Amino acid sequence: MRDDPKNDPLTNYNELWQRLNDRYAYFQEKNINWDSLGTIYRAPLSSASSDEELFSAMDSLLFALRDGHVNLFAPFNITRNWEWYLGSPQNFNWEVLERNYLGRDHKIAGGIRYTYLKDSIAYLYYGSFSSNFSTEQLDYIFNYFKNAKGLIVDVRDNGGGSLNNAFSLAQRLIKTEGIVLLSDEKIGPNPQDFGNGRQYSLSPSSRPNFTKNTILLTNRSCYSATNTFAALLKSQAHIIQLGDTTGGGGGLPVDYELPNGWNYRFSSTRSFLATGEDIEMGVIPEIPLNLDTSEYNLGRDGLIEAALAELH
Amino acid sequence: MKKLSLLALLAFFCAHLQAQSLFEGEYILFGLGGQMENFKDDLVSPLQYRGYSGAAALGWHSQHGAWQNNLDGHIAIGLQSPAALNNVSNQTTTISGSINYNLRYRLVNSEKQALFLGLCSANLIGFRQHNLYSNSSLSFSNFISYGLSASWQYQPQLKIWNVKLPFAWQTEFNFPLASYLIMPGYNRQFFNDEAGLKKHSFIGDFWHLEFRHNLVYPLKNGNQVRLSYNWNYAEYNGLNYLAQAQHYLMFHLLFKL
Repeated sequence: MRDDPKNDPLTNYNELWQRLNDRYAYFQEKNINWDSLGTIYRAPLSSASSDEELFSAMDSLLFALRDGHVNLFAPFNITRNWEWYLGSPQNFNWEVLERNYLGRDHKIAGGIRYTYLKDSIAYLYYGSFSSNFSTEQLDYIFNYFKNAKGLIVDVRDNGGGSLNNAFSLAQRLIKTEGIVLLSDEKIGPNPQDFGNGRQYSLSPSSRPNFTKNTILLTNRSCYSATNTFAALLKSQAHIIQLGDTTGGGGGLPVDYELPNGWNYRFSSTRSFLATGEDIEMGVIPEIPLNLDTSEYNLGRDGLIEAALAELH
Repeated sequence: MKKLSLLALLAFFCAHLQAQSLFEGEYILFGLGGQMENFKDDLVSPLQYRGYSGAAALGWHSQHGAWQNNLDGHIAIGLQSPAALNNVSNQTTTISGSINYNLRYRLVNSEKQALFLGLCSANLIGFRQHNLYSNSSLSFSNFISYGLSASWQYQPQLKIWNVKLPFAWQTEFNFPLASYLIMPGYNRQFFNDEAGLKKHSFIGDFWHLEFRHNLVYPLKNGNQVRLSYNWNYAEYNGLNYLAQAQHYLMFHLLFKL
């Protein structure tokens, strides 16, 4: 059995650098010079560096990846790059949504809240793809919507979760069958070592569904599985994405740990639209729109109002 | 007085000590014991993990004349943590096990000793779940190996104070030459719901060795108890390095069929 690597600051740093050098999926797409970054942030470290100094160097190194799926978990802190949403308007206000649109008597099935808005426009809010729903719950929701004139699917602030949930819900919304997503993964240590390419096809559900005009509301906090959900619907002519570009996160994160026991995660796969467009940095809406936050005081959600206007 | 009582008890249990091999016949085997599990799995950690497991065994052993057939397996479940680190919450839960078949022929036979040589199918499995990981929390290894096998039996016919102590000893050694490996892929465990790596590998790319030492004591009705120590080691030098080592100590009860 091979010996363990040494547990000192430089070895820990080098282990992190090397693991990502060999297995991280997005260096080329993001035009990252990993060699250069590794040298820059290694320079202040020595065998006498403290845990905090080591963490800080690693934080700087990982921040440069601009990837919400990259985190280092130390006992005293977690590195992250959340610029994908902190650098953009939030475009969402739960209080306004709950009090003025969902109302007191909206329905809840699994993780989905749903109701009718004005003029027979159906509204569905799904706040986390980690919140499950059953097939029967989806049946109930889409039966309830069967007479609706149009549908607003609101996934703002949905940070992701289960891809299975994303596929299950998307199947209830699509009209045409086809390839909706492509992916591959890093299969070796060389920069060109990508393989295991896969095409994801989606066909409309034979169970209760909704294939009339639909608006998908997104903001920058739509990440990971939610980003993929938006990508799955991209090829459907009757579904229009409105709001801000999704946050991204097209790679599937995998976990590992350092000789000192800290663990970390990073993206090991890449995802593309059927047209070949990379979705790591987000899915761009057909109708880009930011909220006018002054409307919050009037109890109005400008994105929902814009969606209602589109569906009329 | 205590010694005399103990010897009388032993004499009672081995009422019909026989000159013939204690290994002769057919037996079904049940075992319980403990295992020390060590592994280094490049999909999980750069660190060696170590911990203890509870283990159980089941098998069928047969020896008729010059032929020996053994089929047995064991399963163990336990927790491991990085061997070199203290006070960390990093932990794996491992389910591991083995299924072995040996067919051997007796080449050397004397009054007290016998040597068998033959073939083995030695299969070693391991499923490891890391408590701090999400998408890649599961790792696994399966060595479906085949190669050479040997066993040496020694039946000394001990006497202490004129009381016969019919202990016997058996050492077995499995030395696979090739293995079909089922493991995770480079970054992810599965592709299209199948294990990421499935391939034949030959000695050098992989190592798989197994030693067993059995101390055998016959009971009155032809049954046996055995104290068994096993050492099982498997290593793969591929894109993801993996080494798995098990030491297990088992108490076996063998019922003569």
